[in-house]
Amino acid sequence: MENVLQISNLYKNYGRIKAVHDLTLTVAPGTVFGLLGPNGSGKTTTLGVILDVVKKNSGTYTWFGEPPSRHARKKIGAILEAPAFYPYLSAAENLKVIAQIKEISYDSIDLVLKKTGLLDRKKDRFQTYSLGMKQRLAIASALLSDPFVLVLDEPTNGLDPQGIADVRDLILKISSEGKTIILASHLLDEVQKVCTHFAVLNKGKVLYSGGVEEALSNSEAIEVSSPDIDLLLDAVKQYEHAKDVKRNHQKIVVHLAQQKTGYDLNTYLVGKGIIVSHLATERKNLEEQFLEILSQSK
Amino acid sequence: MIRLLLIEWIKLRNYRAFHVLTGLYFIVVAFVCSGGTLLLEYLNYQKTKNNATFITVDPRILPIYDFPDVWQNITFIAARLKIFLAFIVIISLTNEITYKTFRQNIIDGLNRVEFMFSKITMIFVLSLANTLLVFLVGLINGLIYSHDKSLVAIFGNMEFLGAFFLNVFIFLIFSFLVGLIIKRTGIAIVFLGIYATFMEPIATLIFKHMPKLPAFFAEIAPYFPTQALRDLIPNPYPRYILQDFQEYIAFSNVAIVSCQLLIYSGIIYLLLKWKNNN
Repeated sequence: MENVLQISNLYKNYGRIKAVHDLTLTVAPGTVFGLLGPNGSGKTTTLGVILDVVKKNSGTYTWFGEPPSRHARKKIGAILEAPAFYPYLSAAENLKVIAQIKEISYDSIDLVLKKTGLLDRKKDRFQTYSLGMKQRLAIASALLSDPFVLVLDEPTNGLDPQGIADVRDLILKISSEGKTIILASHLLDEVQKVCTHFAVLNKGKVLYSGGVEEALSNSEAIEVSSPDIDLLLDAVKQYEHAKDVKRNHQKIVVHLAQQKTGYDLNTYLVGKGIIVSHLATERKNLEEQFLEILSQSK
Repeated sequence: MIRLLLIEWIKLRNYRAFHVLTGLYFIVVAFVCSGGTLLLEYLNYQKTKNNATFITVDPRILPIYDFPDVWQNITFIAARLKIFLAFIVIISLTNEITYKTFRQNIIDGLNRVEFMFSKITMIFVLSLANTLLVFLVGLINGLIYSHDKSLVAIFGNMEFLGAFFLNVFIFLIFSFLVGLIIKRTGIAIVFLGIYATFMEPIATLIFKHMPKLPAFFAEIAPYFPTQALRDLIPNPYPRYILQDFQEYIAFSNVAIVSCQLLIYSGIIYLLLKWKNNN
């Protein structure tokens, strides 16, 4: 199957500021793709370019293997930054405008409002909505045409914990229906919970792009402890699969070669006659991984 | 085209400010255009009150609603009011920029050219409604007050209604352009108001009548955006003090405003096409 989105060597300058600099990205179908980066790293600019609201300087991008067109955009449900609706119109009327633009029937309006829990407020004007409801209406509008791809820019911005959880559940639900989701965020915890793939952007460049699982599995650390800590330290240092052994007070933190787990380490230590009092496998979270990628780029 | 008009219609259908403003505008147009007899009564009242016996004519006999003169008389007056309709156009456009809905429309799959046409069809319909209203007001007043009610007289000089439509339509397109460049509702409205009612008329006066200015200035004045539109329907009222006036629509004026229409649309098209729309 064709890649959903392919961006090649994209450049965008605002005057002297390089907002996007030689950016190349591929989004495969069925993935939940997180676009990460600090504020001002070029996430929204990149999304703006691929949605044809920001003019690129050079580079190419294709949707579904085709050059961009308004017909391709109709197959995409997207929100960029804050939800943009006519404040003096009701939710239903706002969605009617979008349905007309996308040339689809009004039937799906109630459907997406129900999905996002706004059905009982459909006749209220948008300006009376709370921030969480506005965000949910934005997601409803993105879902309206039953699109192949959802592009969400900071969908949980400004939401309370319950709102964040609701949006997360919604994203997981939509993704389980086989849709591709592209999600820009700086909430790494969120991305880790929902994304299958991610890319890290900084200063308009891609620093990393790959699967969330791969990124995290390489970063397992094992914490061990034993009453005789010096003896343990020597033994661990001699272990052939151990890389990067550190002592941290009464614990030793060790990174193992690929495919080796805490089980292997423990078997080895028992063979050496050392009984551990504590053994724990620590997975680095995406946040640490992200900060590491950023710091390496400096 | 119908889809584009429908999109615009949904946007405006439940927009209360739009209804109030257009409703008020049309009421004002109807009142002002029907107010001629009232004005004549007032003049007569002033005359008798001040014992101005040196004025031998009774103002009330001025046949301002006589067919076919009524069409030039009424379109000339109605064209003074179009600025208020222009404010509505500016609001409808700058709203889209302020609320970022223009950008969202593009993201949702509307083409920039389609967006432009959806606004232009709305402007077209507004101008048409305005022309229709002026036609009805002229017809009703004419049927009440005209001395000649023959069909030939009623449908004579109808080209002034066509010129009125062109006048309003082009001015609204010009306002669309102003709104698109300025982007802020308040500033755009104030600018257009000052420009159309003070800046340009004053500049035109200076250019045309200031002695010692090179002839070049007087020559370019008729090409100014609102001056060209003003020249389209010449003032017919000098006829009531038995003075000369232009009783027809000059082809050259139609040509000038048509060129302006092309230029405005071209600039709007390029602005929408090439600008980032954040």
